[in-house]
Amino acid sequence: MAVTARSWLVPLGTGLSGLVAGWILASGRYTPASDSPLTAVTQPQGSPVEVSPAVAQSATISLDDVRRVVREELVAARVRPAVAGQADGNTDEPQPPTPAQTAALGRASAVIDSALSRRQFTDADVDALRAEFHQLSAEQQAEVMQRYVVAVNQGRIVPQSDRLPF
Amino acid sequence: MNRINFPAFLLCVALSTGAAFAGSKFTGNGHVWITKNADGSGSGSGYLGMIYNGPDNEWIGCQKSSTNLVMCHAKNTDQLIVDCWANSAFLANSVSSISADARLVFIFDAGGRCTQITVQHSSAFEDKQ
Repeated sequence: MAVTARSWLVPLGTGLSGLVAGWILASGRYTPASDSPLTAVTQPQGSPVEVSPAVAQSATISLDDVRRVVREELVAARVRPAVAGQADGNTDEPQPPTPAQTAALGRASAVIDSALSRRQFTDADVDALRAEFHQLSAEQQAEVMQRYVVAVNQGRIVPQSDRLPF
Repeated sequence: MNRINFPAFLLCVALSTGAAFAGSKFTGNGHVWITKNADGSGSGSGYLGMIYNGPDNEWIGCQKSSTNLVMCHAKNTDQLIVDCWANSAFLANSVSSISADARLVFIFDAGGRCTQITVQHSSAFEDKQ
C-alpha cells in the first residue's frame, strides 16, 4: 500500500500544535486579579461568628485561624438544631410507642423467646412474627430483627424454612 | 507478493465466529458459600439460578421493605444458616437490583447488621430453568 506524505502530515501537524499550545499554557504562572487579600467571609445564618481582622487583612491563613473557625462552626452547628427544634416544636426524638405497639412488641418478643427455647423457627413462628412486625415502630422493628438475626447467626435459632420472618 | 488462500481465510473466520458465539460459562457449582468469623461477623454468597436448578437443600435471598428495612439470609449444603439485616436506602437499592439469575453476596458485622450487599449479573451465569 502506498503511503503518501499528505496522509500523515495533517495529524502530525495537529499533534505538534497541541503540544506547543500545552507547553505555553503550562509554563504560564497564575497571577491573581488583584493583590488584595481574600476578605470575603460567608457567615452562616444565625451564628454570630466574628472574623478576626487579622484573618481578613492577612494574605495567609495560619493553622490556628483554621482551627478557631472550625471550632466556632462546630459550636454553631450544635446550637442551631436545638434552637430550630425549640422554635417550631419539632424535634428528632423518636415518638414513644403507642400501647398497641408495646403490646405487639411483647407478642413478637414472645415468639422469639419460644423459638429460642425450642431452638427452632417454624413456619408458624414466621406467620406469628409477620403478624406483629408491621405494627411495630421502626425502633421496635430494629430491636426484633437484631435479636432474631443474632440468634440465628449464633445457632441458637434454626429456621426450618427459607421464609423470612418479616 | 503473497496471495491469501481465500477458502482457508473463510474457514478461520467461521471457526473464530463460532467460538465467540458460544460465550464463556461460569464453571463453578454455584453453591451457597458461607463464612463465619469468631466475632460473629461473616458473609453469604451464591448464584441464584444454579442454586434453584440444583438438587441440594440450600437457599439464599434478600428482601426489602418500603421503609428500606433490608434482610438477607442464606443456608448452605451443610445446613449452616446466616442472616443479616439493615435499615439503609443504599443497601435497599442493591436488593432492588437482584434478578432471578444474579450472584448475590452479603456481608454482615458481629451484630448481624448487613454492611455490604453485592449483586452481580453476567452472561456467564446459568438461568433458572
